[in-house]
Amino acid sequence: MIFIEATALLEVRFTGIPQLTWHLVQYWLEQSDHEVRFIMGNLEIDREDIETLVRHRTGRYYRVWYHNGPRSRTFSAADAKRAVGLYPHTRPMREKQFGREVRIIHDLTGLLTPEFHPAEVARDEGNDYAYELSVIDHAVCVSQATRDDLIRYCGADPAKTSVAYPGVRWFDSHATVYELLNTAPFDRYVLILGTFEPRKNIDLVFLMLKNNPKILEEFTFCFCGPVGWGGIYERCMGDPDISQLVHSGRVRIIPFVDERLKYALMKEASFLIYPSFLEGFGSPVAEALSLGVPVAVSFGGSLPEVAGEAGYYFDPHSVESLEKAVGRLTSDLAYRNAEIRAAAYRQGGKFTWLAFNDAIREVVEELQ
Amino acid sequence: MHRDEAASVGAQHSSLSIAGGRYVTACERLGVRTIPVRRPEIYGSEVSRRFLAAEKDSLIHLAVGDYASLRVLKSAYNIACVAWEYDAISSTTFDRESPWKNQLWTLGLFDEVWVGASFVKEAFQRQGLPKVHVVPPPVPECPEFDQTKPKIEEIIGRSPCAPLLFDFTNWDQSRRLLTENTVEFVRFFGSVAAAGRPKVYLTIVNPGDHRKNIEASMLGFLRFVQVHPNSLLVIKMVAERDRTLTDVVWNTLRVQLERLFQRSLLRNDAVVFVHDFLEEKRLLQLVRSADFYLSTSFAEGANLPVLEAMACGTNVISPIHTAMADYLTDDNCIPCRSRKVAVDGETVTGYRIGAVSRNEVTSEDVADALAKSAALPPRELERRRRNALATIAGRYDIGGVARSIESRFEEICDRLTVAAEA
Repeated sequence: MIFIEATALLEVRFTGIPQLTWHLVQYWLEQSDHEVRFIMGNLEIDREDIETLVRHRTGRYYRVWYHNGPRSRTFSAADAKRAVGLYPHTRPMREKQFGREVRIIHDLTGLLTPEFHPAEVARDEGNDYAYELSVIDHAVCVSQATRDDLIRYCGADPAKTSVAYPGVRWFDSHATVYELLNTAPFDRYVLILGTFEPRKNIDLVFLMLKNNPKILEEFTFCFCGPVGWGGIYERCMGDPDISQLVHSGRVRIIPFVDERLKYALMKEASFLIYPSFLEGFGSPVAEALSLGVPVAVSFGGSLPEVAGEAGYYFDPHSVESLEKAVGRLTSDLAYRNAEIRAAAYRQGGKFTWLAFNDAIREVVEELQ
Repeated sequence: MHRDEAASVGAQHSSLSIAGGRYVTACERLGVRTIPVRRPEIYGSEVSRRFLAAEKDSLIHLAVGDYASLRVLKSAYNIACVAWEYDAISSTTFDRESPWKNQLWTLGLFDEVWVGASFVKEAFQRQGLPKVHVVPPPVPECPEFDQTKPKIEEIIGRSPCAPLLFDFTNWDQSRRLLTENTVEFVRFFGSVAAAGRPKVYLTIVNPGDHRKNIEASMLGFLRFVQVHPNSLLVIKMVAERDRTLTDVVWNTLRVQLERLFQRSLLRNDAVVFVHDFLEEKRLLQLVRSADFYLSTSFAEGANLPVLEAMACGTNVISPIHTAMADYLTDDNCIPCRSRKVAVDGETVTGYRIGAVSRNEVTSEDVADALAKSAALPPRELERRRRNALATIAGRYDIGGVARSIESRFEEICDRLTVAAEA
């Protein structure tokens, strides 16, 4: 018997952890050889409701329903004792709910780089990882880098940890960027995807543009991501040079990107720049590669595992390093376009949800 | 090499920051290539390692910083280089505070730990840390040791200073008085020296560090100066560069100064506070310009200023305990009495430890030591000065520490080679 924690499905937008949970839940709904049940916190949720949530791909309409709880119930201690609990998120867990428990660990950024997080998040995450290791039976990490961190910093038993890379799956859409943004077509563009927050290091790209505005003659730069925290967006937009670039139309800011728009933006981009200091996985990099879009990517954390030989790497602390990586990439785009796009496809194809779910299934079955 | 300068206490003159730079100098003298590393925690793969060094190179990561900033560099041999002053270390395990507050846990992440003194090594080993080595931060050589001392007013003449001519009996006026009395050091010194050049006693302290026992320094000196009026205590404060002297004194030393004034030891221009940014070379010249260097700390993990004073040919007045027990003797300094007492909460609150002792130094102890310094004939002072230099040479200077580092690196590289072959 398996209990899957599905609270993340109550999120409005299915990106990041809700997206992973969605793939995980969908997979297990199809497994007829296991008794699979679903929980949100301490309550068991009807399978039918979970199926509806999966079908609708948003928790927007279910939040009130969940809190009223007409179709949820507690589960018996006896069932809990003989079941495996599967947790796809990082919510604090102070007590063991099930006989054996598996936790998916996304990253240790709260512990390793507390300066990138609000104080409370940093403190909670830092402590919870350390604490949870004494409770859980197996940690599935979304990259080898995260697994190494878990072993090194939290003293995890290597035998009780494994790696499962999240996958990439696009939903068919023929809409173009121009239709979705309701705007006139713009030239060849570079995509920078990520929230304006300290860890994502988006300001490094702005610094490159200030140092080397000539590149804007060749490419438009599209920064896609919400404003976030840490004053990064405000600082960038408050800079007169950057403000001028935005007004010129050669730099575009797109604050909200849904899956359809992301797909359209990705597949039509010349390349992606991903300057993050530290990642547990790096889904945007895998997504770009899966569409044959080359990436200039920071070497931080797990990113080299995702981009592999197809990545054009740079030091996220160095604008010179970024400039060099972008220089190599644009040169290759000019002279070896087909070759580097093929390499990107090959690398992006390595990340499938089926492989991810199969790896987790293996862990769960071993614990059973 | 990973130095977290921003995170260390006391900004520009922080011992950790200075120590980090000196380890670099020592490594470079050995021909070891040093690479500054920011955020070692982000290096998680072969790809990132290639940004630092070739595959064949042995990578040793020396992390110099305070506990909260220490991170390991994966694929390297990790050494934590830390200062510590007490005979215990925090071992509180995971609670609702950050795990980095557990210093034992943090140090346990590293392959080995370097400390500045045997006392610290013993304290760490008592707590179960296995690989602790004494590799003190080096002290720069002082080529002008035998030359005439520079004049203090030429070194810090333009620095703002405020003599202890303000009081706290009238709170409304005292802050204003403090600001009004702040003048350039050369102007202040000119007025003091008009009656004859005073003997200069120097102390360099972070005034917010309770451990430095600045109150005993001042009180002891004020007693001493009643008998030896032609003496001046220069308190060079180590604080953030952007703070004013008034701010540092008012907000950091007020409680201690109030206690002094309550003891009726009021208003004396024999004590002067200086607050200015001095680059390392100038700071060393300041140390060299003084007749005596005064330290009254309860505990030290290295005490770089004392080592620097010894290297610069300035007679040291200091208790001989904790780190100083490694290098100070009755023959190379003017010892100050101290005694072990159970520690008070205020001293160790920030370290989250208890059941430790400190070495109490009272103002009477300081006054007696100062009196001894004044009574010693010049020839004896010169003898102790030379003995101090001999202590530094070969052990604490760049060459000496480079040899200690070389010996550690050889062992580490042998181990890394064996591991790679295995």
